[in-house]
Amino acid sequence: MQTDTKISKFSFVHALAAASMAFTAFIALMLASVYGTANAASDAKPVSRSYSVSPPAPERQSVMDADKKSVGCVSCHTGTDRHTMHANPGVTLGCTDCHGGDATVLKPKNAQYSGQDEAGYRAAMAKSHVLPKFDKAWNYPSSANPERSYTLLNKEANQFVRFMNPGDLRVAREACGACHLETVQAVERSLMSSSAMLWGGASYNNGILPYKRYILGESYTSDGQGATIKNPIPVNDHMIKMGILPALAPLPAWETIPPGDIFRVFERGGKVISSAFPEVGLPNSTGALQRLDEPGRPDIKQSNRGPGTGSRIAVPVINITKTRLNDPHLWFLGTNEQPGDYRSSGCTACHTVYANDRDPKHSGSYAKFGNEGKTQTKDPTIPKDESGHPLKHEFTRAIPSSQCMTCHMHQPNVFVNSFYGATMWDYESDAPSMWPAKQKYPTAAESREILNRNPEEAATRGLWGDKEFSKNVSLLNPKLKDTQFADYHGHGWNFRKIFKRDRKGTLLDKDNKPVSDTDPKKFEKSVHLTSIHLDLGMHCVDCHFSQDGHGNGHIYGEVAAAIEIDCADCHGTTDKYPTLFTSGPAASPGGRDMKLLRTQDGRARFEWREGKLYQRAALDANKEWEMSLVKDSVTPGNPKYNEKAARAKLMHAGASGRDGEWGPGGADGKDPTFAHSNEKMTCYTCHLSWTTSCAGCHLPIQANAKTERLHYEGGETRNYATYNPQVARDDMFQLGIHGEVKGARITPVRSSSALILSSTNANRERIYIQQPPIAASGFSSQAFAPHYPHTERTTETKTCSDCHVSKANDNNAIMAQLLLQGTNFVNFVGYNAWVGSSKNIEAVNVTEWDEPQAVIGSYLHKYAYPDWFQNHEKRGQQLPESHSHSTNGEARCIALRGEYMFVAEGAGGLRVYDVANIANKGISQRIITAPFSPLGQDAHVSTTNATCMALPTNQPIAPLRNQGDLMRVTNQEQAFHPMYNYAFIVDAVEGLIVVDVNTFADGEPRNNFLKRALTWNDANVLKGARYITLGGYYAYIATDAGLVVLSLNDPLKPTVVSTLPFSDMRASALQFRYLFATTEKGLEVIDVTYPERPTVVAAIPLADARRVYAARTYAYVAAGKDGLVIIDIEKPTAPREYQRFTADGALNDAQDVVVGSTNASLFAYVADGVNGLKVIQLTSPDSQPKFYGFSPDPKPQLIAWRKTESPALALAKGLDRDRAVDETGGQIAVFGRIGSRPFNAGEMRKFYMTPEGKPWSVTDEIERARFIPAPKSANPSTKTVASAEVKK
Amino acid sequence: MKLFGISLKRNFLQRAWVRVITRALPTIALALSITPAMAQLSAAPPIEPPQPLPYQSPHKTLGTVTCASSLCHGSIKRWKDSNVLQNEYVTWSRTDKHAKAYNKLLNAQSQKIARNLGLKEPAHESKICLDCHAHSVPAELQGERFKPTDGITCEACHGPAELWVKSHVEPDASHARNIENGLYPTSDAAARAKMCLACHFGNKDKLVTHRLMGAGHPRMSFELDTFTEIAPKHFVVDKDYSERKRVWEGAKVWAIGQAYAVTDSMDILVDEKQGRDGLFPELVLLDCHACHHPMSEGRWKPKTAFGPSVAPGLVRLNDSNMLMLRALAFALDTNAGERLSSQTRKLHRAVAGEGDARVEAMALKKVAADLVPLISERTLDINTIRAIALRLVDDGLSGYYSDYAAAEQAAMAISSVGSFLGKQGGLRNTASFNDNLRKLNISLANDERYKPQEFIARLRDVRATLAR
Repeated sequence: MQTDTKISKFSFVHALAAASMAFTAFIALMLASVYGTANAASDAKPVSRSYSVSPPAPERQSVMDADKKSVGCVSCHTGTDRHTMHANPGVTLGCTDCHGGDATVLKPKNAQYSGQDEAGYRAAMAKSHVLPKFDKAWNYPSSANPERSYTLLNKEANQFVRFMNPGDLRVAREACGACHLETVQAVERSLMSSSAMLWGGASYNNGILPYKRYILGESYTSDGQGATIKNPIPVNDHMIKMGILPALAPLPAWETIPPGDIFRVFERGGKVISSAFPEVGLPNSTGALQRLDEPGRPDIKQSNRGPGTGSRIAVPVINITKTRLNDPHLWFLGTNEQPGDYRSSGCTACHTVYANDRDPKHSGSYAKFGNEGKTQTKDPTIPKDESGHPLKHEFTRAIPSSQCMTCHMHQPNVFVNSFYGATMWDYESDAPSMWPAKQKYPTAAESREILNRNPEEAATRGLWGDKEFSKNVSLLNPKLKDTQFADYHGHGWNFRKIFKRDRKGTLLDKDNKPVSDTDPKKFEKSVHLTSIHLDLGMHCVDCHFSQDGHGNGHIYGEVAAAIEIDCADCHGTTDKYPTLFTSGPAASPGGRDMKLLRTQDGRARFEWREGKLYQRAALDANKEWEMSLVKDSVTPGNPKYNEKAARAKLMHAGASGRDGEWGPGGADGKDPTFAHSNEKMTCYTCHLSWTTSCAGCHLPIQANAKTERLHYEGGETRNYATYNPQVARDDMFQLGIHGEVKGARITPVRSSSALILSSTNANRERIYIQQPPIAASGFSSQAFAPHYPHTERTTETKTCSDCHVSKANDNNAIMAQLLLQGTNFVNFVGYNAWVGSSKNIEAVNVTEWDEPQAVIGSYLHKYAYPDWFQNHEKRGQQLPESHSHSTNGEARCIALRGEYMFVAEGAGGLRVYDVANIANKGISQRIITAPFSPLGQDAHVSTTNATCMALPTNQPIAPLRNQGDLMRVTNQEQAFHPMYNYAFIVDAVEGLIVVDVNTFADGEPRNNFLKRALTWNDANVLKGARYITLGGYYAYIATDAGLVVLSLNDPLKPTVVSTLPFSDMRASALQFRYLFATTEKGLEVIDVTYPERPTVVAAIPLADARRVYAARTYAYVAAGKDGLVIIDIEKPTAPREYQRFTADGALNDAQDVVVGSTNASLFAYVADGVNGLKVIQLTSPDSQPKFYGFSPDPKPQLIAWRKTESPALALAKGLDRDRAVDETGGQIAVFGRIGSRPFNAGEMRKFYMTPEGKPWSVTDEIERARFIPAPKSANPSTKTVASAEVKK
Repeated sequence: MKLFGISLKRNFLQRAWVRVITRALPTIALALSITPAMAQLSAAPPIEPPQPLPYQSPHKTLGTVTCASSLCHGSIKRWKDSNVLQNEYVTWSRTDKHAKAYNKLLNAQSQKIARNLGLKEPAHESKICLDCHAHSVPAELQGERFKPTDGITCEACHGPAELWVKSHVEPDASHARNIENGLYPTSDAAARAKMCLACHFGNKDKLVTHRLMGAGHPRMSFELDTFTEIAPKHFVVDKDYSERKRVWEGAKVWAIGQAYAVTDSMDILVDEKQGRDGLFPELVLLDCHACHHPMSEGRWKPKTAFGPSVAPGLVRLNDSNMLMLRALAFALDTNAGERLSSQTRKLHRAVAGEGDARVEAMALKKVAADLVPLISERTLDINTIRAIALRLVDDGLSGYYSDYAAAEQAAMAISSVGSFLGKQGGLRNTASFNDNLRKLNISLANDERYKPQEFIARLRDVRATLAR
């Protein structure tokens, strides 16, 4: 039984013979090194024992035979909850059938566990029980699940594993498998066990493995060896389309996995400093091989040995292996040390319930048993006051969602969290209650203790690092002013509830009336945006039945592909009542007959009664609810008719719909087609109240951290990376196209936990900081993914103007967000703000390095680091550190991409600086022009007067990776637009200069020479060019004559699309349909819906407008002596000056401005010519209680500044975090889920433009006049429900 | 039927009805009054199933969910290597009306019936309704996962599973041991007949009375073999079935069903409580259509299958089952046929006042009961079956099925025996027999519009395809 689809790790290379040779070699290399490492868990020393073999449980046996196998057991375990665990009395089992052990041993008469004849009792116990090899680690004789046991299960004798938990997957075939073998096998291959979606997504999105049809997954043999799992049948073309994978191989050891990105420090070469770059798995014991390097080379490199050695590893894999970020999953026990983490492993992990959560919405009737993992069992031998025991010796299918949450914590912003109406807390709201009044300086030991439970580094400084505090964090709610915490705490994390708000962030009640920020009952009056399903009393298992829990036996890599349920299965569609057969991608052919399903308490789950469909609650024997039926909601006259729903669902497609016509009838008497039909979009595209986005997670690896590997062979090694969410928001609604497995339909997309990586070596030198990796497809790793938000509500849904241009034209920013063009609001300005000056470029350190990386002087800084905040105040808010490099001219346009700073420096032309070591204390010159010999490279193009430059994206990309059949066919990736190979420089004299910059992404430093690919200035049209903004392949260039729009569709053959005269146009910023330009007059708004016909539509007079930055509904203008002028551009055609901010005169030479988000707050960074850099907090919980809104009104406060070496002129924009695609449909960022992608240009235009190119707009009002009833003859809507039921 | 429930007191029909009843009343009422001698007689033939009916079982009912696991009887596909199909729950759940029996109590019609009857509780909470629309057992015998809302559940027929649930999955499980443990022997035609008839006809504990009909309950129709087939049945009689259980031919199932229908109806007829409704007899035992037809439509015939009619204008016992049994009895044994015939006639006469109805009922019960072993033991060959079939048809052609109930029974009977004939190769052209049978059934589609002449015409076609 063990061998059918599981292959031991040693032979799995054979199993993968069909996979690419490259991969096989890669894995083989890994394994060779993995198996050299020792198997010593922290203090676990095995006891030598001999184990007898217990036969597998029989499928059938007589009652008499079964009873014999319990005789001795029940002499101590005199009572239990369910003798066989099963509620079904037809199951005939004895204790040892499942657990093994010796049932013939009887308790000596009168012996007791403690007290009389203790020795006799203990001896009988030792004889009858199966004892562990690692008795200390299991706390023998305690039977409670130990804290954080992880790989202990892999090392332990499987006889003990079976004794301790017969449902563990290493042994489940011998116990559960007697009857449920198919299910056990399916579970072994399911995502719940393999975690393939996490490993696959992480490895692909971060460039570690190029396989979007994932190849890695977790599995073990019965003796705890890593195993390959194979699909039970060969995967044919159809199955490939359904997302089924042929096999999953074990995760190689992290020490041996090369990084996805060749950061500069990983490039070949360098003198080895073995203390700084310790080798794991040395090729020879003396290390002489590495010392072959000649002296004199720059020593920032880590040796000429290849990637995958030393610390040249993939940081995300450390994270997978060593933090409990994603796990443990079914192969291991829960960590059993804090509420939300109590559970068993394997089958038992779900089917026995532990006390984890006190909220009845999460735990149903189990809520009353608390959250401390204590038991309710009748068994007198189980201590009732000890954590780590299941509630009862009983299996159930009434699994509360709190049990699911023990794993589905990850990611802290999605799935079960959003179902609960919560997302990860951002460290800012109600900070005074969450941070200690006195700054905490955790010792290494204290940090380690906390990080073992919770890998967020911030927890080591916050109050919630104390698990007694975190356990009761929701009790703070009554006194909190900005947020409310949910009462679940797995992994030690904090979750904030999401409330209904308008776009400005004002709380709304159920009738959309504003709720005052100062109302003490504001959170009661507003609407907590839970899933409507949760409100009804539903738990995960009310939709996700057996298949979704166990898998269907095939191997999947994506969760969405592995789901059998679909909304329509229960709710039907506009023209059909629900069939009650599952129809999701993983449904069996024909679907599961949901009418056959029964709840644990015995009721049929679904039932039609008198034309109404009811569902019975899986967890509450007295609860049922009537289902909303889509067809009823769109049928006029039906009691459930809902005009708003009917209008949305029956909105016509094509010209008729664009005119606002809706209804079952067609305008011309023909059957209409519908704009929002099921074939075009998923139900939850509209039926969601909010979507989550985790725009960035910082993974700072630290070499000086000896920590345990939590998977496979375990063992301690150096290096650890904490997990630090940066901007988890609930206000971003974005759409894209799902993969073919979901019908390539329109669907919500979320920013899916993009990473930025840092590394601190053994000498605590920061060898790279905050580097976004590049995906295997060459796209930026600022990843996005189609997403089912689980935030369905009845009234709080998306409406017309959330996706289409509104009649009032007040949703330009919403459209930019929706289409994934980005809003420049959540952009990431990290550890340094980069300033271009008249003679320098300069990196000003603006945040702490520790987590949370609070902006110095900010609200968060004040609470997370009170001592350091005070120091900052004492310094008069002056920032203490910056590093600069001289330039050959005015650095008027600068752009940071990866470890390179691109600078247009006037007479100096284009210069690309190496800024990889900007935070490395071991490097004296942190910004350099030539990392090694100038003969070996020249990152410079000389031009006459380079006034500005632009990169198509500031996200690191590698277009050269995105080619070949693997990408185009297998991985279904779109090609890059060719312009992504280049940087575009404007020169006041030479015009446009195009330079191929791909060389910086190839991992080879010796070819870093730049040369012009094109110099273009036809008819001198670009005379006096001084600024360039790219919007897709359109370039908006400010010239002497005004605006010149070029098409770079063929980047080496630019064409002039249009020109628009301006007097002294200076700069511009683009947002969806509008270009905001600074000119002599001030700020002018140009409609560029048609780049060939740009039109000025509005203007705000300003005396000296310099640069402009558009962030959602505000344009920030650096207005010289007027400081920062904030213009409300919610209605771009009717802009309005909102505020002038000079910080009481301190800001009086504003040249440039950028905006970015850190945690929950918004910041502006201003290049203030004579004064240097100014850091302005735009929103903070103190100044703007509406800070959770899409675009709250900014309340600027100057919080920090630093004078620059020379007058500041320009700033580098923060990393784009919500921009996946450009204005002409060119994809920038990686999309998870095979075949999924952002909209292309044509698809985007359909949202707001007719095929003839005319814009159209929508109103959210119900226009009854535009309703077209069904033609009289055909009246399908009068069919009764009953008839539909009979048909089935 | 509703007509009587609503307008009884107002129109002249009322007077007509009262007249009829008044004439019949003294005799029937007298006939049914109990004397010690009669009580003795009533003890005559003990026709009891081998064990209590499922609802009478002393064991706990566990609930459908216990059986419904996909690893037990809830498999979507039939198992190849099991002696049962393992998809019984699926069949029951999807297509067996028993699964919906409880839900019927929630509909408007049921609510109205309960209201009309003046029940204290709504239909779905009233014992009188639940007794047949659910597996109605006392609270102390309801297992933790038993749900009355499931209607007529597995255990409603197979018996509460408290004891046999374990034994039936033991490696050496035997049918006999399961039955010892309380599995109800549904494979035994007699036991099955007793069980099904308990609701579909009524027994001493439960009966769809004339009051219930008056309140709006639809008329009842039942024939054991036909209903076993159309349930639909969730078992296949194959090799391993026949190794474990006795195989009953459909025709025998039909026959036994008829015999028990007669014995049970006799029991009810003489039952002091059930057989009467105040002054009146329990009218549901009578032939509905003897009264329920337009006044203008004289249906009385001087001759019946059992001999000359007693008299016109009398309410008549529903003798449709006797008619069926008569055809069967004659085919098995002419004497038995004669006995049944004459005893039925005696009962009719007694009900009309010419004799002691109670005595005659018990005598008829004995005659019917005596047929059970005969049916059970006798091998039914093609000739016997054909004789039954032809008699059923010929009785019809003779006009003996002037009322709907008998015609309906005959059609179902012809279907049962015809099916047997077909399987044994006793039909010249099965397709045309089936075609004629189908048309015959069409003529019975609506009891209120039943036209005896049309039925006879269709019957004539059937005969043509039945004859050798």
